[in-house]
Amino acid sequence: MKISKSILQAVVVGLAVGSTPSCSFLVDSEDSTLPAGIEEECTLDKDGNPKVNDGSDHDYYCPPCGRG
Amino acid sequence: MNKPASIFAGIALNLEKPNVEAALPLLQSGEVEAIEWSFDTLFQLDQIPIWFRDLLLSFAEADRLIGHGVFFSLFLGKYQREQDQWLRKLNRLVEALPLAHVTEHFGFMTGQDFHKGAPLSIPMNPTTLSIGQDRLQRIQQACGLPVGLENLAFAYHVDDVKRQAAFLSQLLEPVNGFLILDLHNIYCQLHNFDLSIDDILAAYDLERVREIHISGGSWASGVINGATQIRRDTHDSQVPDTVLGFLEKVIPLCINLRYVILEQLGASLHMPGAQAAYQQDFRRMQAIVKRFDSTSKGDDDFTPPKAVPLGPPLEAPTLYSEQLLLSDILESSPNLLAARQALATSSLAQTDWQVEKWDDEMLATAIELAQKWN
Repeated sequence: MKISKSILQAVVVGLAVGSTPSCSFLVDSEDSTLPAGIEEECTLDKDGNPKVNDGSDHDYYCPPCGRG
Repeated sequence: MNKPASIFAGIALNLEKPNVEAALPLLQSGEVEAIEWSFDTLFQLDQIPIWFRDLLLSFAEADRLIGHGVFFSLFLGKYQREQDQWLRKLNRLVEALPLAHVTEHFGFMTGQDFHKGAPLSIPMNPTTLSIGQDRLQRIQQACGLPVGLENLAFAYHVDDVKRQAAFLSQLLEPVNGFLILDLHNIYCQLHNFDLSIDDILAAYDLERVREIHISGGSWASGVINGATQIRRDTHDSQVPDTVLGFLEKVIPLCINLRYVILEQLGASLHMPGAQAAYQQDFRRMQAIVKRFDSTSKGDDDFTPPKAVPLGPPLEAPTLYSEQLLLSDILESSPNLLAARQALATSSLAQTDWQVEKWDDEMLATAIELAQKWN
């Protein structure tokens, strides 16, 4: 499907400036136990402290699927 | 003039840099025909970068954006506040970003809060059937769209594998729903339970399939027998040739198929080589789809039936307490033996959960899943 050049250019710029979280899991503070405003990345636990790298091949990610 | 394609070759795309990077050449060339987005991993639309929102919108406006929920936990025995919020957010989402359909997963999620956990199977009985149908009706009324369910890779024992297929059809009947047939999930089952693809496919109502998933996975050594290889649905490697072979086999049988989606996690797409392999997987998948896309003869769009008033959400307190107990046992057991003992002496023993029949390697897998994703 053809996508407009302007949208594709914006994707390229967005990737370059790093406007993607390392994980797509953004917390809505209304319905989670995390403090408001925290973006829960894979490397943080629920208290906002760094997680321990468990050394497995699949550490540091919280995929939407693939939990199987 | 070419006949318009009736089956769209697409990708699962989420806001993960490596995922978007890997997909970019395919998007730039116009090869991607549909996007599946796991909308509940990023619920607040105003927090999505505008470029990602606009990309999704361009597919939505062409009726090529499909939604794939992850965290609703369809079979949780107690209706949660978070589920109600999930439905309200879905209702708002579809107004801003039109989806062609919405899907979720078979199973219930372990985990201490709404965003953690791994999907596990459930006893398939009238109680869980009622709960699942109730929740699917609520999802459908929240979005007003065709709704579907994806088959689960994980099963506790071989009987579950075939029973899941029939149960899915029963679940979907009241909402005129459809199936996502995940071929890698089936690949896992045929390896883990020594079944043939024909055995498994024969159990499914393939005319209910509107969407197919393909992906890669990984092998894990068995806990009981280290030489045994357990196939895991981890979405972190190239699609096996066997799974592509399954795709060729099933497409002609799925007369209402509309989307074939490649899934791979962003975390496994950091390296340029992996991204090139992902693009190759897509093109191989697309070549198969193109070979068959004129053979899709069905015209069932799985249109929602007329909405009926829904009373309070159905709940099953005993099921819920059993789910909590099972989650706790899986999350806290230091090893397989401890889990077996805990299950045998718990209220789960001698129930529809049939814990006594659970395959040791599958129980070990469930322990690992529950502890990893908690």
